[in-house]
Amino acid sequence: MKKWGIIISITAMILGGCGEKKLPIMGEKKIQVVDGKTDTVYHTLPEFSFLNQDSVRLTQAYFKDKVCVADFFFTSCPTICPLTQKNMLKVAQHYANDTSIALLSFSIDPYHDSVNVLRQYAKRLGADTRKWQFFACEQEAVFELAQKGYFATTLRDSLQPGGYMHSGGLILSDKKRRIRGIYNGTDEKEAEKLIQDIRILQAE
Amino acid sequence: MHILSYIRKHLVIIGLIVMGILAIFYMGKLPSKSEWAITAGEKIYTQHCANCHQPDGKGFQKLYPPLLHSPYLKDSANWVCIVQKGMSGPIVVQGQSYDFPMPPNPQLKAAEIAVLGAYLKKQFLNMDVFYTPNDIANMAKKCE
Repeated sequence: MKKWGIIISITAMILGGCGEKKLPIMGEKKIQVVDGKTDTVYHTLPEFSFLNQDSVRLTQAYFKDKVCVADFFFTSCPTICPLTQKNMLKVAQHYANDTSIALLSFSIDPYHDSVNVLRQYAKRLGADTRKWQFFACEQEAVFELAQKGYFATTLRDSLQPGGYMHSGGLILSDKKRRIRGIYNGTDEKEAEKLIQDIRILQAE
Repeated sequence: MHILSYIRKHLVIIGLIVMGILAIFYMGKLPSKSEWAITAGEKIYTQHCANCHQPDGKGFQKLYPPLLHSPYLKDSANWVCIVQKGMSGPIVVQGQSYDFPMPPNPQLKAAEIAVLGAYLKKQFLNMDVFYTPNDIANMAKKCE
């Protein structure tokens, strides 16, 4: 009887674990003590203020209570961006009718990617801009946002094709602005995983 | 003993005959120079072109035009200029308009463009063309 009890409890643990798959909360965490209660404070995405493809200035407030997927790119990028944007499009199309999901593409090339260029780009890419925002960013601000906020590398580098070096990650954040996953944007399988993981965050 | 001394005496001639037989035997199996160029060109294509124009050459959305059956690729010289210098301004390919600049590829050497050309012409136009780096250099001279 004892033996069966152990088997049942192990099975329950495995099944239970599957049902409650959780995504990690990324970044540094701090333990705060307020009124004798301990509280864990996680890394959250910082505030920003950029013009989108329609010349509307948006901040984090626009994405309140949404599960977001973000990437850093530039429209004339000849290397990885076409792949990452293709996978972003896949995510956008998968959740086309779901208003609780938003996508953000921050351009790191303010010299070329004006609001107008981004609008044309979004249109030609076939992106639904009710769901997916393309931001024309000031360089210093976007580099800082990438580095400190999204843990993404973005640099000016004249040796790189197109003049910039950047990581091709798709960064998933939850309704509380916490980073919950970074996916290789050039890999179709990772994009599929991202699509599945979004559901986990929606259920939270 | 007789045989050994005979072989030793005519070593050079025997060697040449053996090499000749081997050469005839392997000739059919070695890739021709254009086959070799196409294989090498595919690597260049994958590395420098396929992210936008896609591995199947069908292009992507209304951003990147197709190369498959593209009139811009059929043009015997102009394709070299497009690869090297990039392209901008509106174009129409197979009834679809495109207007997003293609960046230049100054890093590609004439020898690389030569094999790329063999691949592009074979894969997307089904044409057998072989370019030497010299051909490419001459074609590039005509670019504006």
